[in-house]
Amino acid sequence: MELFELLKKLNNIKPDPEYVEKSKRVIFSAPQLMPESNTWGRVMIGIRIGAVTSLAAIAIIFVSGLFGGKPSSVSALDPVAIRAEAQAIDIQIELTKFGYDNPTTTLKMIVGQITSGKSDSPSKVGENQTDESTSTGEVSINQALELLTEENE
Amino acid sequence: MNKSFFKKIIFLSITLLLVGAFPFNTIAAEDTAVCNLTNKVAELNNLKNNNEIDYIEKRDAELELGKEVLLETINCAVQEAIDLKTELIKTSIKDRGLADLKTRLSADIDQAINYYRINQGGIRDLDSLGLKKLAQKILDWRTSNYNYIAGKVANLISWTNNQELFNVAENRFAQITKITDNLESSTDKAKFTLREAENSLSEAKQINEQARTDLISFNAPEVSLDLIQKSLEKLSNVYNGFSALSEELNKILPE
Repeated sequence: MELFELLKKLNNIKPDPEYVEKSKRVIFSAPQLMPESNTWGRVMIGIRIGAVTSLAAIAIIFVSGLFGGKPSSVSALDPVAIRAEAQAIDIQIELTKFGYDNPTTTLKMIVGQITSGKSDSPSKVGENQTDESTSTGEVSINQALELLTEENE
Repeated sequence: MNKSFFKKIIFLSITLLLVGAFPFNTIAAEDTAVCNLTNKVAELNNLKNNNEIDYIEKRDAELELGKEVLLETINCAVQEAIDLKTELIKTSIKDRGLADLKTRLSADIDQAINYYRINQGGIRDLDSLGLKKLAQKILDWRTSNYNYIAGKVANLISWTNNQELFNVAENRFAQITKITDNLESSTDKAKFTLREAENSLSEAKQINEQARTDLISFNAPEVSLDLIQKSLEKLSNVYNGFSALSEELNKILPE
């Protein structure tokens, strides 16, 4: 009976309100050690998100491949892409047709074509064939030399 | 860190900047050099057609102007060779044999530049006949030597760039073959067209390889050029087949 009374008293024991308030403040002001709070944690989260996104993308591609319309590999039959590639070859053929009356011009055309990505039409390209143009501008090196061989007769 | 340490760092930085900038400026000056033959040649032509000047005076003026034209012409030829070398160097070549050719051609261009410079040396002392002879000599040299080098370089660059076209064609062929083989409803016509495209691709690759071998040889550039053209024409035939296959198979494939 004495023990029972003692337990009842224990049940009524309450912490000091000031202590409770102080403890709460200490707990809430403590730093939250979440994984993203440091660089490694952020990297790990990034990896996890990346992995999940990739898996989702793979799954979508797989599913659309199974149940979608034409399979993705059919893009290999895209007539526009095929035509573009064929045109690139035709342009290259036209460039080599300049011959070697003036290989430097041919070289400039080949290099210009590749670096600028321009697709000069054959007729436009051909216009330069008769004009033995070089890095000199309108009068070519050979034309100037020819003039000098005639000049002093 | 004391004051003298910072002074040393600043001095070193400025020195490095100056040393580093010097060769780049030289190259830039060479790269951007503009040849101005047109004006000089026009001037010479005008003088030649001017009959109002005294004969002796005209002859002397023509000689002086002719020397200036020749000097400028050689400057332009040097610039032309520098441009050629720049394009050659820019071309990335993995093939060992062709890489050796690139090195050889680069050395040939250097020799060409030397040739021009040597001939430029005595121009001021020439008389009319000497000037004419030198102009003719350089013209002949360009026809027989420089055109060969420039032709080789153009072929090498062209062939190297063509390899990307071959790679793309091979990839597309592989993809189309896969589709044709996996499609139960592929028509005989489609299969026949594919075989034809395969044959053309094989021939194109074979000629392309011949062109590579010829490039390395000392043959005239025209031979390699002919092979390069033929390989590209065959490759173009492959694409005729691809276009036909695209049309044929797109009819069969479900939407």
